[in-house]
Amino acid sequence: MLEDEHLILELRRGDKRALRQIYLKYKDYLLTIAASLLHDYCAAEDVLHDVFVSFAAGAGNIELRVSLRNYLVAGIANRVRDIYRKKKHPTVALDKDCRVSSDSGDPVKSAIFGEEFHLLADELSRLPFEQRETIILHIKGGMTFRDIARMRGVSTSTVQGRYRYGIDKLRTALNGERKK
Amino acid sequence: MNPADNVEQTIEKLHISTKAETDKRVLDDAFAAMEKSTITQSSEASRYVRQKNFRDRIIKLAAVAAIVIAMFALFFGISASKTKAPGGIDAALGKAENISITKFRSDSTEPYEQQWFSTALNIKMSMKKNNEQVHVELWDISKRTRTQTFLSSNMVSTRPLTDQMLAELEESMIQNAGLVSFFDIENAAEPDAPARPVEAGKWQRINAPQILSQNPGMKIYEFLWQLKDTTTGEVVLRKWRIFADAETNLPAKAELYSKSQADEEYRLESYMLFSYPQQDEIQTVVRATFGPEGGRPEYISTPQY
Repeated sequence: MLEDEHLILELRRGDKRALRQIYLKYKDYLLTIAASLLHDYCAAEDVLHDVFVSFAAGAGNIELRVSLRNYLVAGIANRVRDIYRKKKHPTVALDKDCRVSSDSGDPVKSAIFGEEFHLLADELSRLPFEQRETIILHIKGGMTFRDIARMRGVSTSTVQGRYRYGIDKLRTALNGERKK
Repeated sequence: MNPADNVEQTIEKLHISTKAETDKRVLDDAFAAMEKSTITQSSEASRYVRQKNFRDRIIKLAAVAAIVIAMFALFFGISASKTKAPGGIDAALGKAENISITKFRSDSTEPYEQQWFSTALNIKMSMKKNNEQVHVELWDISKRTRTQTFLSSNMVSTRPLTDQMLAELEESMIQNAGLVSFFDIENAAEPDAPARPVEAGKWQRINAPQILSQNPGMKIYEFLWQLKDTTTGEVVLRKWRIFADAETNLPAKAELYSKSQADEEYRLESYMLFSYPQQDEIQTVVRATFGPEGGRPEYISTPQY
């Protein structure tokens, strides 16, 4: 935590090394969250790119009231949500090579997490976005239900409900796979 | 281990790595964005110094001036008649001809709204993100028109402003400005309001060396107040932190915080940056959005009376 505070101070002074260090520290973590939400490596890379470039552009004025990690995770979650909104608007074209494919169940894309996790990744991608987002932000992003509720403008109990339903669905689906 | 045995643990173990070319692309673009931002900030700083020389040119255009002052009175003191902003801030704002406010949510470095107020031009303009669309609205008090467009569209709609609409403008501008949440303040006066103030707000000057050293040349004030949810009874504590230029008294930044009674620390919810552009800079933004004045289509949509 102290390391992050120091990096932010250096970043405010325009130190590129601090920016690089922050990127190297969080890149895999943020990419994993983006890919878990999008189920698409290519789109996840673009999200990581956009969030980090935007973060760098505002670096001179940055003042964090949450941890740097939570700040970046929130940036990833919001950008992913933007992509899902675009998806609902056919007038906005998505990059051909980075199409959001969360509902496709495409085995090639689900293999981004490796064989060990492909079943879980597939089932995650079949959850409604809100449930998937809550599960990933809570477990992988380390955000509390309350933080997620504030970020999304809903009650904490709604977030807890999304989490519970989502986890139950995952368990049921994965148990079904095991019986096969 | 089958993932069904412990779904949470399995999710926790998910991990993928970036590719080397991705790292290069992200870092190259991030460094470029950082450099560009540094150059822009330095140019804005010098423009601000130039602009100070023009500050005594005060053009009294009552309608917009009243709106801006009322807006900031609400911003700084909940009730314009009861509470004055400290340190001459309200007086400085009353004299500013052109004000630009850029608003951000705490979890984003991209603004969700930008507004321009100009007593010199007698206009208010707002640019607001609405899902993926950017909605732009221009209120021209002198011409008594309201012009709207979406940046993604070529359609421009201009409608005349009636006397009643002009009279309502003050209120709508206060709400739209969002400097104090409409939910908190306006509804609080209603008997069935979802939230009511439970104690009068108060100002305090911040003298903590740590905060002051991070904001050289600024004087910092906090305005604290409490609200009670009329349904749940939950009390929410809210706080504005204002950073004003120590020399001019003009605000440069305002941050809105809140916390519950159980929370130890306030959380930043949103913040806004203030700038004081030149008249021609605002005109450039208007032209870039709506086209040159003579070329603007008039009354494309049905006028509303």
